[in-house]
Amino acid sequence: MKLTAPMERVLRVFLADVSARRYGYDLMKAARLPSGTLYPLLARLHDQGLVASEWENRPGDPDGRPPRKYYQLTAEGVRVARLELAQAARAARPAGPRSARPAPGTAR
Amino acid sequence: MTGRPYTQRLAERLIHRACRRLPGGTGDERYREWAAELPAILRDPGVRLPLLRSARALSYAAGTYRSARYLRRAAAHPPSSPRRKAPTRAPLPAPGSVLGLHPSPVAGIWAGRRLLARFTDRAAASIFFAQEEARRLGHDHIDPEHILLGLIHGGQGVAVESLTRLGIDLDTLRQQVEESAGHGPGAPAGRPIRPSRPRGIKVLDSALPEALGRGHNYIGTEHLLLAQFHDDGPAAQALARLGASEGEVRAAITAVLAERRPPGGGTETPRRVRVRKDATGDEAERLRREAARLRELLRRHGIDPGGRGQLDT
Repeated sequence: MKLTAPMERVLRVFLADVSARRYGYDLMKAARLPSGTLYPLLARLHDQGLVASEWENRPGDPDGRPPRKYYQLTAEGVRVARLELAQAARAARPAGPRSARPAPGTAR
Repeated sequence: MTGRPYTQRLAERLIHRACRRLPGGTGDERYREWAAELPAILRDPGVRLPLLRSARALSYAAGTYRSARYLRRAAAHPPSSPRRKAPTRAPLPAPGSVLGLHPSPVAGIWAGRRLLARFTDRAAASIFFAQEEARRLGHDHIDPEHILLGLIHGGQGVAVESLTRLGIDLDTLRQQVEESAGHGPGAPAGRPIRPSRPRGIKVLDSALPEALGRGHNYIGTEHLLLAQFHDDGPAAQALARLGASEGEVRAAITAVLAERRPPGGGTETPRRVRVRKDATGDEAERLRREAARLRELLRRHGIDPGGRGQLDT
């Protein structure tokens, strides 16, 4: 998976609460992405089995709102997303004086 | 919430068109998914101004065009086959650009953006109305007369003002054009209504030289009106019958434009070719313009946009 900046934002939003089911507009607002960017990303994640979607189950329809489609990371999606974001964070860390400090647990 | 029904219908129509060419049965499902988001956008309690909610809904609908394009390509080139360059590599949107509108959500429906990006909002809207007029008359193409009807339907802009200045009653003109255009058997459902060849295309194409000839870098309603004289169909004939010869219309347009130019500038803001630059332009200014544009759109349909004063400069 190629971690573009929009993709990173979407994954962060999903990871903020992995148990939450999110609908399109909700994701757009949280990730600050336009619909034209968000849905292609979701389609890619869905094709790779990282995101599952399901239709809202609403028999009664009090306010006339049609059922929504909800998206959620799969277990595999959660694993991959955490990994990708961690790798991106490591790559982004500047190689300066900071890198001289050993990572926790690596000191002998 | 005065603007809701119309905006929602417009947005749904845009989404419907975006989904139409999706493969297999996916179009129908996507339409249901995307249209179901509209109520949430239009009732978003986090956005106070109704106008901005409308802008978001239209922006959302316009974005589904891009999503649909991606889905079509993805279906044609499944990931297992050698990957083409990822079509989704979208530039990072500017903060808040969710609110921004597609450059031409209305006009982008049937034509490439190359031509329509140069249309003013009213000119673009009149093409949209031309489509409606054609459908209403049961025709399956946009002919020059539908474009003239679309200009009248818009009810505003240099074209209409110039005709009024010549003492032409717009209702009479509309009736005459409709009579000579006649009623057709009805447009086949689901097929887009496009400009006819060669007449519709020719008139649309003639608008560009009309604009360039006047040193304009945009195409406004006045250029679409002048383009009518490049055709000798019902529209041009009706204009001539009512005493609007080509020369008189030209003179009237010149007069109207001269009146508009001075202080305050024109109200028919040309979008010009600035579409690209918008991304880097001042966000607040852009939003203000978008809001004004939407307000105008809503007002034209007799809907009070509300939220006045807060957005007016």
